[in-house]
Amino acid sequence: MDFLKQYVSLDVIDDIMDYWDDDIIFNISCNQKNTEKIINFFKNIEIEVIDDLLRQRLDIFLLPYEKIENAFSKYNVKALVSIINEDIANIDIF
Amino acid sequence: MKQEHLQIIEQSILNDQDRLNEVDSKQEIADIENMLYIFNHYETELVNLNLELLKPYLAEKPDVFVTLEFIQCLLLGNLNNQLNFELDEDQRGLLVWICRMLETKKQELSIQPKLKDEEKYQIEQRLNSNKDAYEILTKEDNTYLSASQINNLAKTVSLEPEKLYEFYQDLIKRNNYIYLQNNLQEEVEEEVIIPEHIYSEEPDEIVKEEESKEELNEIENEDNIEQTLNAIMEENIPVENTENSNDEEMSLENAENPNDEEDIPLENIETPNDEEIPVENIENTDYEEEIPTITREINLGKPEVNDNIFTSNTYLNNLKEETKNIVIENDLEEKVQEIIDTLEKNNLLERMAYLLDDLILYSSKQIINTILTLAQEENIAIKMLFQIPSIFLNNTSLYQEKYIAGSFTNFINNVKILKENGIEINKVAKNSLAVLVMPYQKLETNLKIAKLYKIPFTNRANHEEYNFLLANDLASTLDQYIEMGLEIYVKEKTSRLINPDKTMFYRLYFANQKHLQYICQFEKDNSYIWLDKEITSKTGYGITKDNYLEKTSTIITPNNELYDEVIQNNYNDEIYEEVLNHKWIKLLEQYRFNNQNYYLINSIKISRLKVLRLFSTILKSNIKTLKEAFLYIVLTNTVINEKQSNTLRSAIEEICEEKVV
Repeated sequence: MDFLKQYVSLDVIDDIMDYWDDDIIFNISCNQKNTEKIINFFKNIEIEVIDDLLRQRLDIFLLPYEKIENAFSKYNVKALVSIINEDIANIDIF
Repeated sequence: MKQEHLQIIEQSILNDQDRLNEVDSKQEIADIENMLYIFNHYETELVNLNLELLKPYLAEKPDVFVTLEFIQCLLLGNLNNQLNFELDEDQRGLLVWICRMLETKKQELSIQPKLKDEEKYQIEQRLNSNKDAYEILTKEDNTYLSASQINNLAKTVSLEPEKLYEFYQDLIKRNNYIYLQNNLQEEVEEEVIIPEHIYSEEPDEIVKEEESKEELNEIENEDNIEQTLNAIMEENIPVENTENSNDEEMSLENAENPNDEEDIPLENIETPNDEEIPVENIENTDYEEEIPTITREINLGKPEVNDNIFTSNTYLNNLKEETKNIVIENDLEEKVQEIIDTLEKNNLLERMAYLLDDLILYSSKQIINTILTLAQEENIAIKMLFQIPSIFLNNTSLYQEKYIAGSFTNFINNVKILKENGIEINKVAKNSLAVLVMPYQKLETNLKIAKLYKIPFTNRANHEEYNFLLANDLASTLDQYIEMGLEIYVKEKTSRLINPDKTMFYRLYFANQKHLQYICQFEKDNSYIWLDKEITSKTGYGITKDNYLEKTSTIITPNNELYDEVIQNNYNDEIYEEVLNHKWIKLLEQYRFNNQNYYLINSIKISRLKVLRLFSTILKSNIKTLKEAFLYIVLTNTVINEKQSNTLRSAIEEICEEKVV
């Protein structure tokens, strides 16, 4: 998961390694570019809780980037991002 | 195996006491002894059967045999194939049960069992008194000895290096010892047990230089060793770690994935032929037999590289040199070609090329065909399979410092379990891909908990959510939400159950105590709720992981090693009839609030299902101090202050003394 170092702190990576099963971590590392695209997309739309999403919702980053982008396009992104930043549970729109 | 026998075994495991006194039938004793034999000989390894735990284990104990194959077979119910025990279904079930129990007992049982030392001593004694060590070593049951122990024993009696080498080979062949191979390589190479010239890269020159009869015989021995190697391969020795893997910290190497995001329509996937593994036979499968075996660690010098297969294909040419060598050394050319053909036939080669090294080492055409057939049957888009490539890999292993987590078994079992629970696989694949590769034992438990707590798979917006099945410790998290009065919220936002920040419950407690508003909702749609950032932020209300107790004036509820251990060693996912009829529970039920999932005791909410689940486990475990245990159960995992704790204690003591009318 070294590629995550440019996006999050080592603490977050440690938490990810602690919380998540190896199978899921392995698949994330196999799909590095997809994960990076999703992280960058989240950054661009000003999601502030990427750390928490990686810690608690790593499964989202296994989904194809296009699916994520497409799901957000159906909503008022600004409003959606605002409530995701309050409670990451609001991200379940896929 | 009956329940009482399970309890006897459990007690004997826990207390190391004479364990068979309570059993009458000789046959039953024999059965149990068989089980205990297995346990005693493999407990150190069994403790580590959870593959998540394998990494630190490998790093710390390089010379202990981790019989991964054995562990997997044990889990898969194929132990009889490994140990030649005629096990019936009950016995297999018992082994799985033991394994599950051991998963959480790693600390206590990481101690070497006494039996091993005793037997080792006996063997040593016999070796010291007998010159023909090889004979004894090969005839005795040495399966518990590490390679270094065997080597030391051999030195004690001056066992000839060649004999020792043969012994190692034989032991590998007989026992599929993974790490023996590591040790074999180290010890054979470092201690030059095998005469150096046998391993020369230029044997012809040696023959020219030393043309004695003796040397010629030794060259012939090389052929014998090669034959032995072939024989080992036929015996299905699993893929192994590379050298020094035990000494190095494992890390996930970032595999590059091509940018190609185009989906491949299912119609383009050729229906696999009869070479797939029938899914119905994969219940705890023995599919591993389908996978050619690799004996990477037994390095007999650099083989002459046949470049043909690699130069014939660009993708193969791009394989790592290490992989090419393994292919050559183990005659895997045919398997490589089969994998390439299968991928090509299904238009997958380009998309999967980045994973070709792993596919060659840890997959097979049968596995690929099985996955593709299943995907077609369950209407899973191939594009989604690319997101979880681990399903094409069978083994979990280390390769060139990269940790390979093969999920083929998990995938197959998860599909089966989900279908048995009436869940459509393509819906899970659509939104909750990770569920398909998660450990299937965890999925089974979490589905049970989901049923028990009546967690819906569909939310208010008719959106199907299965992600919460990934949760670690799902039941405890649910209990905490219930005790904080957020059952409705968490059943709507089920993904909140996955790995929550535990300090969040202290912020919720703080907000509840101070009557702060933290539920958010839209003006026009007040049924859509979420939590305020003060609750979800890691520093909300100034409460952090470093100060949450003092900021909230709460206490850590008293723990008890015995009860903690019993609870941790069980899945705690069932409620027994016996518990519902227990007099204390009947009295406690008077506190049940308005038919809700909690008891309200002096304004403190206690999860009802927590009490019922954990009390079921405690009753099953034959704990004598029931009253204390009951109190422990009520208090455990609950966020309270000291005053509330005392109030609860008094209430529970009254119940136990039946003062409550």
